[in-house]
Amino acid sequence: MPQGSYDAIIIGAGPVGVNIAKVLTDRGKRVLLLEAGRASGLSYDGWLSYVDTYRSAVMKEPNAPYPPNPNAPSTYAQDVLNIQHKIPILSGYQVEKGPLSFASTYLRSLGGTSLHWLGTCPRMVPNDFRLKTVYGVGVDWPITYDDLQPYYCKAEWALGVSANKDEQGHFGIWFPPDYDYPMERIPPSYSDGVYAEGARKARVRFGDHDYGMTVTSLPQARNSIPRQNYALSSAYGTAHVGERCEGNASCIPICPVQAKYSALRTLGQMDKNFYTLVTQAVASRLIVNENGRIGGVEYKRYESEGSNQYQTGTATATLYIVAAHAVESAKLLLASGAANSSDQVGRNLADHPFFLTWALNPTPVGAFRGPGQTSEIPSFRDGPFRSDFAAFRIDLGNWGWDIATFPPNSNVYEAAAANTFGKTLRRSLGQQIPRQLRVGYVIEQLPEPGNRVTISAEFVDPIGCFRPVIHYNVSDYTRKAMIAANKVSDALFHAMGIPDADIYTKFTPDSPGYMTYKQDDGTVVPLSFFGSGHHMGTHRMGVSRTDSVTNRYSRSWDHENLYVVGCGGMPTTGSSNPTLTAVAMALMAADDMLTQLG
Amino acid sequence: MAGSRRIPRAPSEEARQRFVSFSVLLTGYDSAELWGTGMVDAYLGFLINAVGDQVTGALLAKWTTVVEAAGPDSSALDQLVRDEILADPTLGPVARNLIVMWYLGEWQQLPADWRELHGTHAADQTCFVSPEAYAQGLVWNAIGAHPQGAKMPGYGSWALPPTIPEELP
Repeated sequence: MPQGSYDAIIIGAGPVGVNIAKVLTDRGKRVLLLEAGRASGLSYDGWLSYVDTYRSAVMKEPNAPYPPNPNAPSTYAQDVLNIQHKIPILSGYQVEKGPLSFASTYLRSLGGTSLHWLGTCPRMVPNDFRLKTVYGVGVDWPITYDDLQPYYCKAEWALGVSANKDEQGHFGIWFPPDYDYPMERIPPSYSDGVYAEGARKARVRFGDHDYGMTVTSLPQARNSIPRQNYALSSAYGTAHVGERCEGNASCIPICPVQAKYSALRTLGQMDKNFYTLVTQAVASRLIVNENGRIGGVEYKRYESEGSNQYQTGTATATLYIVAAHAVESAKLLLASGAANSSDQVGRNLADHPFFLTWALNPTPVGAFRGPGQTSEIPSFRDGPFRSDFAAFRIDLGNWGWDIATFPPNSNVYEAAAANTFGKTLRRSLGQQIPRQLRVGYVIEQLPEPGNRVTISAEFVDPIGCFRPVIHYNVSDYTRKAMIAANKVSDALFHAMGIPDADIYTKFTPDSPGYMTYKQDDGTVVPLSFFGSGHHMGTHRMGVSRTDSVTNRYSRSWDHENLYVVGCGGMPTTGSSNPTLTAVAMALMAADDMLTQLG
Repeated sequence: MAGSRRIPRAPSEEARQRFVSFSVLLTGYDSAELWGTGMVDAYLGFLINAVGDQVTGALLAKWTTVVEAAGPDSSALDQLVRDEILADPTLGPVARNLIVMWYLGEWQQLPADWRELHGTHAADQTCFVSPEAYAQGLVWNAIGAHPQGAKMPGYGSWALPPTIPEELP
């Protein structure tokens, strides 16, 4: 149990919490890191046991390597896929009240969701911070791209992002002239080149504008060739493993060599003299003093995952930092009756609905090789259409049809069921699967008060903490973007020489996230989406205490010694995977914390 | 009786040879390639645990019969396998499971009506035979790739032109 007084208590040992801890401990501050989940990854052979769990998992979804922990439960994809199309979904950990199931999952563990993330790290574009002013939708952030820019640089070095900056100047993204990413871009895949050939020729029209497409490398937190001054980190607890991406092609859900960043890496860079890590300790309540300051955090420490017995403890510090993930942080604030004079805690929950299209290329593209994505088409991250429908980022998948149809397993099951065997079977698998192409559209979703995380005494976990109760829908602004995305997809596939007969995109009522959109002419368009694994908006920052939870430094308007930091702080989402932005926001908050601590 | 598993009799050499020759036909890979996975004994052992000695014996005996009947005629052999094994209500589901087990490393729980007729075994659960079995799945070779999360091919390998699965005669 932790002893003594701390400068800061950080709740949540994921990428946000651990990066804040590093900034504070580097300056000699004493930090207590409380983590609800288990101490995953503190030994390399322990890490390999999770790799084995993944290899044995029948359903290889994002949390598959990490066994269920009843005392700090996480949601598994099968809990929220909603195959039965029944709302509410009461099984699993997060309760889904609908009308649509929030399709993304996260992980409660040391390292947090950075254990299973893909590692994609694009910056947001300048207009993402000014949606209201520029396009008349959503809200503006209290900061601009220019404000966050120096922290993006720091975050890219903290996470170890590989990219070439001369390719990354999309829609006004800029870098200081003397700045470079710590590592060279991850080599584009062979199939990226196949897409690029077609993208060159593809055109699509929205409103009064014609759009072309380019293929550019995706910045990602994945070890590649370091530039000067950057010291590579290998896997936690062992030397020489993971100093380059080795092409395991299992980034989601686990990198066997830890070439992909996880918060373990930052933990390994910290001075143990300045922090105490306590795992299997679930923060259950923030204690609010009469003067409005946070006076302590109550937590439940369970000795064993196999028993719901726990001890309650209280820890105190000068500053309290809630960095438990957008859903968990909101849940803790609601459970504590803290930080919510704005009534925005838990509200404005957003994902990036992930819309897929898939096809067969005329020739093999080498599916199932390399990181999940190495390149993107950034061409729709911004544009005049945003006053009408959402922006999207286009991910070019490297793993065949991936979650659209679950190859190669589905191919083998179907073939066996049809009594296909021998060389015929072997040949047919080799004929189709290497040609599989899957494109993913990462689509913005506007903040809506009705999309929210709530708590209810009806839904508690075995140690008496609340389960998150989620209400979620996808508005027309995003549904129209899916229709636009499908148009982009057709233009791209056709330009690649793929006829309609080889485009296999199909949405039926059995598809995940099935929904429809009624167009102006009355036609009803079927749509389907997955979760991107992004949870944002639930404790947004703003300029006013009336409609936001924190100020620009992620500091609570209501409690001056409380910070609530993470993707939950994002007022709008753009189409960029949010972890890089959240870590940049966290580093900005950490500077403010140092000022407070003096 | 949790934890006490009946230790199966080690399969006879004859059973192993029949199992491998049947697997060669089912998978389209030759016996050296199958032995090279290291999974022959693991899969045969799993099969015996999942369906029992009798069904395993019946399957391998039927295979021996059709091999003898077909002689050197490989298309006759294929047809006999279809008619006598894959179409057989007892042997067919098991043979199809062997295809999936070799290609993915995964055993599929047998259909409900099969289990009703023949009884269930505790080991008949949908699962991977082992983490190594996952990594030895033949499908990855068939598609010119490698099992995700295993047999990592190295930095930059994904930039190279794809390995076209070998042309099969």
